[in-house]
Formats: sequence, structure tokens, C-alpha cells
Amino acid sequence: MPIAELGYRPWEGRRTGRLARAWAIARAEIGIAQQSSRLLRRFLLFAWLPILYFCPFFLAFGAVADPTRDPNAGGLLAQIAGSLLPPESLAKLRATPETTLPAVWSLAFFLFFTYTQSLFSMVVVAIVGPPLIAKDLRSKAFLVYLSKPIAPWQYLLGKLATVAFFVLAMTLFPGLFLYGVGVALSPSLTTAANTLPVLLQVVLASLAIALPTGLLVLLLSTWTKDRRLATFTWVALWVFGEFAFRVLDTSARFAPDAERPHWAGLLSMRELTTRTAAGIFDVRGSLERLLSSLSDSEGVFQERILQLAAGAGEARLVGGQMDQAALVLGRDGYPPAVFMGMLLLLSIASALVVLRRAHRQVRI
Amino acid sequence: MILELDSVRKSYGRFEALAGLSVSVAPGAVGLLGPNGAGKSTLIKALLGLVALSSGSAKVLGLDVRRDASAIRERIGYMPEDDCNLAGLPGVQSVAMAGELAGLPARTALRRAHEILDLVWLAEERYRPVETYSTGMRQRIKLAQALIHAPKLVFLDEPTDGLDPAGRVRMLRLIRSLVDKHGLSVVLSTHILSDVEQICDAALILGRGRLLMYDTIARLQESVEPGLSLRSAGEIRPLAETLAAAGHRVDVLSPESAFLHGHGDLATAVLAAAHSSGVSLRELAKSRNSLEDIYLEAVRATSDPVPAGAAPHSAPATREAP
Repeated sequence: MPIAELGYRPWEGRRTGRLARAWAIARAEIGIAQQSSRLLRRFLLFAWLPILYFCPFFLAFGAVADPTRDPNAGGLLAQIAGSLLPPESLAKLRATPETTLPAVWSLAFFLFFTYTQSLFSMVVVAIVGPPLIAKDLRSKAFLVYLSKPIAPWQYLLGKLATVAFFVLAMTLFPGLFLYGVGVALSPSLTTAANTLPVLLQVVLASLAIALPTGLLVLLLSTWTKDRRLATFTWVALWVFGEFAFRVLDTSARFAPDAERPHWAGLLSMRELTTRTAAGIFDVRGSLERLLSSLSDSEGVFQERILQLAAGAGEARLVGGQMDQAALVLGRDGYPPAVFMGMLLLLSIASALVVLRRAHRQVRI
Repeated sequence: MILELDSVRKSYGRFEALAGLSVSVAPGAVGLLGPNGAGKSTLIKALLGLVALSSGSAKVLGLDVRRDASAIRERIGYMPEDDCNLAGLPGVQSVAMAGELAGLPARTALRRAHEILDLVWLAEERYRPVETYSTGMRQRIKLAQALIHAPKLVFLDEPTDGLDPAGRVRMLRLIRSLVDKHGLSVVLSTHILSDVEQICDAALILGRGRLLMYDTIARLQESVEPGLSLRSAGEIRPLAETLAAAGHRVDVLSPESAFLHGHGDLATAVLAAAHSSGVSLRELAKSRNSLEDIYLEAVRATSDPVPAGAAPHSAPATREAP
């Protein structure tokens, strides 16, 4: 017998709350995921790489927008200013930074979220999510969980928090860091006050990616004991959804608006998250504000903005044939609220199915 | 009372897993017995609040299973029969997590996990992933997970399954010591009747969702009628009919086995009857008043008996704690 053996001892202490028990599940799963996947650890580092691109942007933009500096004085500042904005737009920006800065920041963060971080997140979800419930089905761990004072919703919350943690590590944490860098590099402290809504947008956009994708991958994980099958289904859902959307969208690109299959966007998870993020970052409003306040007579700025808008589904081609078509600001397909609603619906349905299956597991 | 069941019913479609079970179970070690499909697992899951009762009421440690399922699970431990584990975690973390799920603070759970793993002889293997554990080690870690949060009552479903003889003895001693030294109550669901006989104070026998018998082991053993167990090489019915014709009371338990009730020198009568009926006897043994006899007699009533002679003993539908 070990000298430290104390035998069985009763315990009468204060028990933790319900959320703490769900967090216990998440903490254990986060530890397991980090230890078991080298790829995941690498991706957690890769997620910070876009910062290297966006930090110089905020540095440059802060310098260009700073009214105390002269962008026409030559040197690096003049080159950066020239590459970002035409001179006419630059002068307008420096005259009214309080109205244009939040719009530029919203657009920058929108690009940060949709072009890089959401893509990284999907890969990380594919690594972390599929085994979460599949392995519990295989090892019958449901009986261990649900024979304790844990309700199925706490179990679901714990598993969801695991996926959300890693998605937020890809989106929210770098986003907050980037925001801090942007404020630190801005010409005036009033920038923080002007851009405060952007901070809220960053949090909301992070959650809008984390929660639906988390619930969806848990749903897939609930349907099989084989994590590889769940991973394959997750990847297939993304790839085929995107493929179907692209085919349908491209084939009807020049058709009249009423004949275009706008529902095709709902097939693509990437499109769902992008359009939702566009709604959260108010891309449409930001674009309109920038176009109205920074337009130049040569149309250089307008062209850049419209290209950006097209990527967010906020500009569309009009004019019939390809050689005559022109981008105009205007909603391409359903408004972001529809995509948000679809994500919400998907999330609720996934959560209900997972809960139902968790109930069923212990009844067998 | 640790369990108070009143007309408990649970149906899965047309199949009635629990058919109006009423019993009050006193603290201590109770063996839960019954053939496959008797409703043992359903009863445990119903008492844990994992399956909803179709009708009736049940209380565990004075708490209603419908209203207070979560509070009940805080106070009881459950060691499932199935090979279930928290995959990916080392033993100590797996047990600590079970404690955290039951509401123990993280540091307390980890400290107790180490203590409990010492108790179940897994101290050396505590840092190994549970997937690499042997069958016996998995049984022990399931017991640790059931005990980590200091429950008042523990449901143990086949706790000695897969253990070697020495491990089985140690496990049974440990379970008994939990009752004797620490005042825990144990409900031991098993098919190994000698385990129940060895460590339980009382036995609760179920058959087809009904209560067949509930009493202390000592009283149950006293209740066994004296007689001889008979087993034949072929059909035993001619022998049973010959004995019955001679005025003996015989119960045919199966096509090849029967029980002859009575005192004194019954062997001579059996041998004479076997000779005259042309039945070859393979076994002739005195009743041992073992739990096995009691169990077989109790479940016989629910398993299509082939009576010859007196009617089989019928169990009351409702029992109070002995």
C-alpha cells in the first residue's frame, strides 16, 4: 500500500454551478485537441499571419489619415498614400476622418474575417469538431456524462465551447489584437471612440462564425462513430456547397435579376458566413458612406470600392452582356438578414438534433 | 429507505420493461438480480432519471426521480456495465473530470481522483490513457468514476465482469468495506449470484419487469425448502411423473431437471423411480439453500415452467424493506 494512500474519504463541500460543469467538458476537450494534433497547433500560429499584412495597412492608413503629416512631402508616406487612395479622395479623408475612419475600419475587418480567418477557422473546425461526439459514441462516454448531474444541454454547451474556443482563437483573438494595433497606430485617441462599434462588430462576427459552424460540425459528429467520416462530410459540405453555388451563380450571372437563383448562396457555407459578416460589419452602409464622401472625379476610388463591394455581395453587374456590363452598388441576391436567418435556423436545428440524439443514447 | 418504488411502469411501445414495480429498499448492500430482460438496467436508468417512467412514482434517497433527477445524480454513483470511458484522457484526468461533472471544484476533483485511484489499485497506471487499460482496469476506473463525488448510494452494474479471481475478491471486499466503513449503500446488479451472496445484505429479484422477491439474504436462505435437485440424461418428465404418482412433490424446472421437495431419505425413492421409469440420472444433489436455488425458483415462475406436482412458489407483487 502506498504510504500516501488515504482510503475512501467522504466529501461535503459546495458544488460548482451548471456552467462550470459544461466548462469542465470544454477544458478537457481543448486539452485533448491541442495535445493530439500537431496540425492544429500549427494552424493556431498560422492564424496570426494575416496580422502581418493588416498591421502595416493600419500603420499606413493611420499615417495617411493623420492631418498633422503632409502626404505630399514625398518619401515613403507619399508612396503609401498614393497606393491607397487617389489624391482627391485622400484630401477628403484627411478633412473628415471621423466619418470615414469607422467605415474603412469596418471594411478592413470584414476583409480580415472573410478572406483569411474564416477559411482558417473551417480547417480548424474540421480538425477539432468531428471527433468530439463521434468518440463519445464509440466509447459510450454518454453514460459517464449523463449519469452525472449533467443535462444534455450542458454536454452540448461543453462540446460547442470547445469548437468555439478554437474558432475564436482564429477570429476574435487576432481581431482584438488587430484592433488594438489599429488604435495604437492611429493619429489620434479619438480614433478609439470613433471605431468603438467596430469592436462590437468584431465580437459579433467571431461568434457568427464560431457558433453555427460549431453546431453544424457537432451535428455531423453525432451521426457517426467514425471521426474520419464526420471530417469528410464536413469538408464535402463546404466544397460541394461552394461548387454548387459557383456553378449556379456563374451560369446565371448575366440573367435578369428576377431570373437569377439567389437561393444558390444559401448552399454555400462560405457564402453564408461572408454575407452574415457583411451584415454585421454593415458593409453596405460603409461603402455608401465612403462613396459619398471620398469619390474622386476620375472614378478611381469608385472602381476600387465597387470591386470590394462585389466580393461582399453588395455590388452587381448590370448592362446585359459581359463587355457592356458594369458594376453598380446594389444588393446581389438576398439581404444579409436572410443569410443570418439561415445560419440561425441551421444552428437551432443542429442543436435540437444533437440534444435529441444525446437523449436517445442513454435510453438504449 | 434508499429506494421507494410505487407501481413503477416503463413501456417501450408494447414491451413493458417494468410492470408495476412496488418495493421499498433499506440501506446497505442490495443485490439486484434477474435474468436478461428482467428490467434491471431499465430500473437503474429510471432511478438515475435517464429514462422517464410511464407511470407510478419512484424516490431515491427520498428524492423524486421525476422532479429531482439532477439532485439524485449528485448523490448517487453509477458504474455502468458497458465498457464506457472518456477517451483521450489519462486515468487520473478521466476520474477528476467525472468529479467535476458531479460538481466538485477542479482542484478538489483532482485531489480526490488521486485518492480514489489509490483505493481501486490504479495508482501506478493513473497517467496512462484509459483506452490502453485492460478490461479489469477499466472496471476499476469505472468504479473510481462512480465514487469520486462521494455519493451516498452507488449502483454497480456487473462490477466484477472481466476481473481475474483475485481482482474479483478484492473488488467485492472493497464494495463491502464501502458499506461497512463508510456507510454507503450499494445496489449490485449482477448475474453472479455468489457475489450477491457474499457481500449483500438483501436481494431484490426481478423477472419480466415484475418484483419476484425482496428479502434479506439470510431470510431468503431460510425460506428454501429442503429436497433434492435432479438432472437426467434425457427427458426427466417420466421420472417426475413416477415420483408424483408415489405421492412426492416434484417441480420440473426444465426438460432435464427437476426438484423433489421433502425431508429424509429421498435418494432411495428417486433411484427406484428412475429405475422403473427408465430415466438415466446424471445428478442428484441435496438443496444447498443457496441464493442460486432461490433465484432459480423465483425466475422459474416467469419462464414457462413445466409443472409436475405442486404449483411453484409465487412471489408477492409488493414488498416492504426487510
